[in-house]
Order: sequence, then structure tokens, then C-alpha cells
Amino acid sequence: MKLSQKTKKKLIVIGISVTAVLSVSVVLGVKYNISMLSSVADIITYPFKKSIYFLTEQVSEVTGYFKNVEDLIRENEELKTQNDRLLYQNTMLEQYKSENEGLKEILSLKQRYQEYPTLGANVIAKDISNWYKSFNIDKGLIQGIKEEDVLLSGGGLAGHITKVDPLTSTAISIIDDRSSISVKVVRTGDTGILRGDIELAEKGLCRLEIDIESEVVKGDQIITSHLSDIYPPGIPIGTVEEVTTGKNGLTQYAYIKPFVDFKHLENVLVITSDSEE
Amino acid sequence: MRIVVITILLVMTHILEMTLFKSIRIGGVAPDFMLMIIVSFALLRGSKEGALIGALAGLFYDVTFGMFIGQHTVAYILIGYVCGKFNKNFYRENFIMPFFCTLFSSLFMSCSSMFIYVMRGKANLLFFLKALVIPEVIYTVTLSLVLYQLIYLINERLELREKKTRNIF
Repeated sequence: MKLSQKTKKKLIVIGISVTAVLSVSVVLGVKYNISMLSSVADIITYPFKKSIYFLTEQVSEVTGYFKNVEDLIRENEELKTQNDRLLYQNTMLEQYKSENEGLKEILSLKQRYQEYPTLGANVIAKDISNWYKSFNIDKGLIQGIKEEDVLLSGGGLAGHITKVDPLTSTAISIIDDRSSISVKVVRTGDTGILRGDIELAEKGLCRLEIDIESEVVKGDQIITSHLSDIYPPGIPIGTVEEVTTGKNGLTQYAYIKPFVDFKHLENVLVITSDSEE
Repeated sequence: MRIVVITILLVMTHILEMTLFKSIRIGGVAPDFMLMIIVSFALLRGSKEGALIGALAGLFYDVTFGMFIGQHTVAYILIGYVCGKFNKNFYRENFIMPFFCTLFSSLFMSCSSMFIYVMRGKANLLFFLKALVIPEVIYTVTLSLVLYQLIYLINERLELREKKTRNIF
């Protein structure tokens, strides 16, 4: 192919500028630990994902408005009675709190459940394939999210961040097959490993592997243990549904129902780990 | 022109799959739209274009949700390349070829995902087949019959346009 002098010059200029831009972005990416390809894809797809999420929210809100008036009236009455009950409980708890503080002072215990800085986020996209249960949230590097930040939803553990892009970040849920967490049974104090399992993921359950001598029964509550690197201790996860003995007779398996409804996961709370460093 | 249209098509499919298409899952199983697009274009245009489209589509997945870059990319490139080989000896109006190509490609993709599970020590193949592989294959193949027509039309338009521009020079 023959090229004229002009086009050759143009091509050289374009080539040099492209390599310059590429090298600068690669150097920056290596320095701040941003992967280039995924950032580009992230910036392209973010506005679409966000707008589709916004539209579906709006549409469902409008249709739901007319549908739910009767439900709302009924719910209002229920909530009123519940409110009274909660007020009563609250005063009781106030008393317990002051009592607890007094006792803690006596024991000079460290404040174990410190307040973590949190950040709200929406789930804007879910994994395409049928094999994994990860999802995207609409907060990223710019909002100060880091890898291995922990996600909560509705009072329970939802998962942790695996990859951070400039505008969004990808998280893995606790029912995903790749996830495993060190947990503790509240009543007995035994620690075990909670794994996601692909056979149970569709039902929204996960499996706890625990020592055979542990006396786990149905209804026990599970929290994150003090052994975990990623998860802070004391976050509630779920309750035991069923207990079975393993094949080898050394472990038993308990099926855990998490507090989080992963099928309708929409809002999450991110615990940013700034304070620990 | 062709590059722009196909890239936009792939980006839109990827975004829709992530957001809206979670509501068309049947029993938690979603069809693989990227696979249908790759197979259709590969059959209509040949191995080179099939492999290129496969690479782009695979990168989209690997970059957003994959554990590492390559699992979907390599599988899609292979599918695009192999399906493109049948380009020369079939009539475009014939619908048996896309059907079988999608069927075997979908099985291949499932096998590659299953392989990673087996490597991690979860070899409950019967469950995988019953709950994930067979529903996905059936869903994908059924939808591919519709999508092939659509891509056939898009391709027809593009080729018409390319012929026009070629005549000018």
C-alpha cells in the first residue's frame, strides 16, 4: 500500500500521541492500582447502568403507588401497634444500656463494637452468568471504596468488595461459591467456616462446616468471628435452618439462612476500612 | 461503519444483560445473548470476524465480573473461529446450521465453566447438568432462532451499504 507524504506524517503524529497517552495511563494505572481495561469499560457502561436502574425504580414506584394503597393502610395500623411495643422495648433497652456501661466500666473492657464509617450504595447490576452470584454497586474509587470493604444489607452481612473501578465496584455475595467466611455460633461460641454453595445458592442458603461435637441446633444465630481478616467481628449473618452430619463423621454441616434476601438485593451499606489504618 | 454498529450492539447487549434481563431469568437461569451474537456473525461473515467479535464480547464479561481475564475471552474466540469455518459451506437462509452451532457452543461454554468448578473440587456433575447446563442450552438455542433472523437483517443492511461505498471508488 502506497501512502502520500502527508498521510504518512499524519500517521506518525497519531501513532506517537496514542503511545504517549497509553504509556501515561499505564504508568498512572500501575501507580494507583487501577486496571485500565476495566476502568474504560466502567466509564462507558456506568451512565447506562445507572439510568436503567433509575428508570426501573421510577416505573415500579409509579405502578406500585396505585397498587399499594390498601396495603399501606393495613401496614400503617400494624406499624402503629409495633411502634408502641418498640417504644416500650426501647425504654427497657435504655436501662440495659446504662447498666451495661456501668458493668463494662467495672470490667474495664475495651470498646469492642466501635462505630465504623459507612456509606450507602445501590446495586445496579448483577452477574450475567448462571454460575456466580456477584454484583455491581454504584460507588467506586472516587467515593473512597477500597478492596475488601464489607457490605451490609438489612442488618445482615451481604458480602465484600473484590474489585474497585473509578465509578463502580464489583462485590461478591456470601452465597457465591467462591466465598468463605470464618463465623461463630452465638449460643455455643463454636467457630466454623461458612461457605457459599452453588447447589444452595438458588434457594438463598449457604453451608456452615463445624466440628462434630458442637451442639448446633435449628434457630441458632450466626455472627462473624474474631478470626477473620476481612470481616469485623460481631456482624450478624443468619440463622440455622437444618443440621446434618458429614460423611466422614468428623464434621457436621448446618444450612444457614442469611438475613439478607439476595434475590431482591437493592441497597447495601459499605463499611469503609479507613479508620483501621 | 461495521465496527461501530457491532460494537454498539455488543455494548448494549452487555448492559441490558446486567440490568434488565435479570427479570427474564427462568428458574434463575439466564440465556447467553453474547454467544448467539457471536455464532450468528461468525456463520455469516467467517472466522476472522467471528474471532474478533468473540474477543470483544469475552473481554466485556471478564473485565466486569470475571475472576481473571481470559476465561470467557478464549472460549468465545474459539467459538467464533470454529463457527466461522462453516461460513463457506452453508446457505444463509438455512436455519439448521445456526441451531446446531449454538447448541454445541453453549455446551462448550458450560463445560469451560464446569471445568473451573471441578478444578476447585466440586464435581457434582449431575446437579450441574440438571440445574444449570441443560436449561441454559435449551433457553439459548430457542432464543437464538429469533436472534439469528435479526442479525441476518442487520448484516444484510451493512453489506448493502458496503457495496455502495465500494462502487464509488
